[in-house]
Amino acid sequence: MSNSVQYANAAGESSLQTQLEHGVLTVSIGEQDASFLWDVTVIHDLFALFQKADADEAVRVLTLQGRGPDFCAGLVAHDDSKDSLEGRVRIKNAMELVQQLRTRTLKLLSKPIIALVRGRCSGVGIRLIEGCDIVYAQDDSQFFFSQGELGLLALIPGGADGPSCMSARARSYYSICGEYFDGNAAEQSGLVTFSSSAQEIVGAVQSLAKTLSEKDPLAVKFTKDTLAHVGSMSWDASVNFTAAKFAELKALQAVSEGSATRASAVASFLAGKSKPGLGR
Amino acid sequence: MLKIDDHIPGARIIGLDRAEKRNAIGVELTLALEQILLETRFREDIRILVFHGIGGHFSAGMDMKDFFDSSTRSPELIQKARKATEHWRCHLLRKMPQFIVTAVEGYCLGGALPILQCSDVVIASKNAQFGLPEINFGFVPGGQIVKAVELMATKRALSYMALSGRLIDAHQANSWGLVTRVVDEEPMTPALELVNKYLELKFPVLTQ
Repeated sequence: MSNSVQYANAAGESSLQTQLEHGVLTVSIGEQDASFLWDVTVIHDLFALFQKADADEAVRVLTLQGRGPDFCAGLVAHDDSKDSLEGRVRIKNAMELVQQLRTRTLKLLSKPIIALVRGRCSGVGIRLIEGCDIVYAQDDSQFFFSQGELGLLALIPGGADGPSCMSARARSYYSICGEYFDGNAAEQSGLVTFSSSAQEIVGAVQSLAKTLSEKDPLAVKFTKDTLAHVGSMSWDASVNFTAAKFAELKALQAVSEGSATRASAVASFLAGKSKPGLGR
Repeated sequence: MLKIDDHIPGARIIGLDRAEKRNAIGVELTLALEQILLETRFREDIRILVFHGIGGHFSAGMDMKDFFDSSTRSPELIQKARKATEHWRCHLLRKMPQFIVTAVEGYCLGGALPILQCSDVVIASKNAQFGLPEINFGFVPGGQIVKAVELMATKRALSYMALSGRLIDAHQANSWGLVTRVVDEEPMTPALELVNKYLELKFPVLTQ
């Protein structure tokens, strides 16, 4: 079921194409058969889409991909953006949205997001996938930390504010040297979860999206909360956090349709019909 | 619940011994773990610990039947067991002065993963499987377990394991930092070789 109208931006024109099927919202960015440079509009469209998808119960999982040969070939300002106050404000706002996307919006989104990266993935694309939960990259993808996107500020600082999922050494090296690195190097550095061949990547993402869409949405939301917060807690604080979350989850599951999922899954496991890790 | 083997001078081998439940950590097992760690902590004659599972699996994690929805245990006993679990998992295990080697085969899931995180060396057989399956049953992995995995593996690995509930094999676990070495044979043989090498060291390795 194509659903591009529901997720189109306020102006009715979207740089994003969406398809919602069996709880999986597939978001394709850019244009088909063309290398696509992101502009400020793409950032705004993505931000609006994530907010809508978060509130939409029909969406259980999001997948992000480039519609054309690249995930994100780069980010450009409109020709006149730097020459007017209005243009500079637009760019500044877009930069702040990028920051918010990676540090809060995606992290706190109640649905899991899987990114599928093919072709080039520039600095702003790296910022976006940093906030995604699981990332598949094609082996021959080309990642690069472009320092001058928008012609104003570096989007990928080399220090502590770089992609936190990457190893510190890789983060420092690639932000300074400007080299391209492929999917395998991205996997080794921790930037992506898996590097995969061109033949297998789409099937792997679809299979994982299906798996995630079958999970109890409340359990997924609470798992994401746990992933987002416990790393910065003390051990004792994480015990208290878990106790509170378990109680809240159980109470919510008791009054939601998801409670049947939990009850049947536990019963199946206890009856020996399913093994640990194999699910329902 | 635990099989304790002190036959090698200077070493203590701790076997999780609940094979009929794939060594799932239930009430008695968690109380026994707390007790043995308390007893071992100040033993200066024990320089190295080895954890392993008996019966083909390391551990299937926390015993859902004992601790969660379907538990038939008394609230007082569950509370005592939970307290013991948090004690050994969050504090005791992290402060053990001994060098720790863990040998893994079969399942190593959920609540068993903090043992790996506190280990100096983890040797896994190629049939070992690791994961956070809680979400498959509508649960959430405990914050302490998530924190332990985050300390030894990549953030990407943690997200994948916690959200998908899928198991990963020993080679993937090795690549993501959960395991030191993958072996073709059962992992206790190389683990015990390591014990002997460690005990031959003139100066003990400081693990704290």
